[in-house]
Amino acid sequence: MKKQKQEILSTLIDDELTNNKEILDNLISNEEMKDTWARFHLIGDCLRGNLPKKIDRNFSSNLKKIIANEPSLFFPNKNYKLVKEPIIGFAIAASVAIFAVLGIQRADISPIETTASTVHMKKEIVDSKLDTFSFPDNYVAPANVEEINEYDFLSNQRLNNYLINHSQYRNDLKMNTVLPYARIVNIETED
Amino acid sequence: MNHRVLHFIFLLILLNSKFVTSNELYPDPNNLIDEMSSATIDLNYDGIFIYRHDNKMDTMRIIHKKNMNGDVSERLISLSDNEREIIRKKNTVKYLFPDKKIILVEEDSSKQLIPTHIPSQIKKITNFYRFEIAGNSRVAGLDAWIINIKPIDKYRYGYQLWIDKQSKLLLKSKLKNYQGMTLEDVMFVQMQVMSDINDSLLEPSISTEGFKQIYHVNDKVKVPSQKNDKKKWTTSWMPVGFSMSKYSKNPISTNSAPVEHYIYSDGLATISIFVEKIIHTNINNTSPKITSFGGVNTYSKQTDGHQITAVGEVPKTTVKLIANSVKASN
Repeated sequence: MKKQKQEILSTLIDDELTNNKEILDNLISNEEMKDTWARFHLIGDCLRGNLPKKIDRNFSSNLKKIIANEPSLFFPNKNYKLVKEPIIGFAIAASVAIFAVLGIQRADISPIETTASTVHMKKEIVDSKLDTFSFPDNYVAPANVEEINEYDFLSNQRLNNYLINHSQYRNDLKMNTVLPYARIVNIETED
Repeated sequence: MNHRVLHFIFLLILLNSKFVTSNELYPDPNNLIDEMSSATIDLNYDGIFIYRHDNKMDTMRIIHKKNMNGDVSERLISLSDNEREIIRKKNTVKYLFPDKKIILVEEDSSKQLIPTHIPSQIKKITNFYRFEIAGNSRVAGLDAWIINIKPIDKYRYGYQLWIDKQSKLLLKSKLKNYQGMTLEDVMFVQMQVMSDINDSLLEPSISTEGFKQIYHVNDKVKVPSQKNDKKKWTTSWMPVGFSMSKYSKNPISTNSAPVEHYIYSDGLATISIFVEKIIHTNINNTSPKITSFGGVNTYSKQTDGHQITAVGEVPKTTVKLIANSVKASN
């Protein structure tokens, strides 16, 4: 059910839904869907390179201050100002609040449930050369190789230490294809 | 007749020009890899990249500087999830974990290690991987060559690399299993090569006041060597081409006893074997365990009173076979 909702949202983002009023109503009332919606847009922005150059951690509070100190130059009519300014102020503040709330909730999500397969991105954005990878004709496949399907995140502190040590030595190698420390930055840690 | 001759000449020119163009445009993949390796170390750059693994996607920023003395400084900042930073200056690496109020300080291990065999990288790699230019593309607004690196067997992974045509920096990389499935990928969404980088950009943005500092080397309790613990550990199986490149024997924070660390490499993939003596209840789980973190797999098992763990950017089968082949000889 959850996956189905994500699929619908993804399709909506891709602008491929014709009758979307019900979906939008559902989106407005459902907090979980709102979060998913925000995450999908964040992922899209990441992949399209639309992230800001610098992340200002005080963005919300700074914007609130600016709004609070906003002069009333755009509203010369005193009566008009009295009525309209709080409304506009509220509207902007509300959008900032949503941004802030999403930011907080975003930090609480662990792990991120969104996967590449649930986000319908344009093919050329995902990878135009994905199909070019095939193994050589003389590729040697050993017989009787047992496939292990167990899966687990590294949550054990000992393994974390091993991973840190391993990554550090890997970083010493001249040939680096993946930034080894990237694996460590968001490693799960135990209290 | 004249038309036919003209057509023939035109065709010849076209074919010839295409041939020449191909030769001119397509660089030697081995040279390109070599240039990439140098550029990653030598250039000053500031970039934002996405690291995707398992079901997670993280956004990070990296700032890299090499000063006039040849000293390399790096700062890696997590832009998503937990606020974390890793700062590397000369021989010291600091891991800042604000959520735990911890700074983990690692002295560079290179001085403590005994170098045994450092292969001439590219020459060695070409024995176990096939390199080819797969085409070109654009990443982070920059034109890039795509290189496929295909392993000769099932015991190692393949890679796909996107290398900036101008700076030769790595812009995107994918780690692939034998089915061609991507296990983890790194993609820059912004990359800026700079003539110089202000040192202030290499300082942590996180206030570390009140943080507990853990020194991985200095905080160790040295355990006197025991007569009955002078075992030599050997591996009876290793994929062809892997040779031991480094060895260390140092404590880690979870155990006061020294942990032996053997590092093997085929020039591209790295496999670590950790041998840790089981003291009291420092290791509870006795059953063999396999774990994954993106393209890194680990396999742990116990033998002869020791925990053997193989860690590497190789398939699960490989780490399991290696760990199972580790034996002690007195």
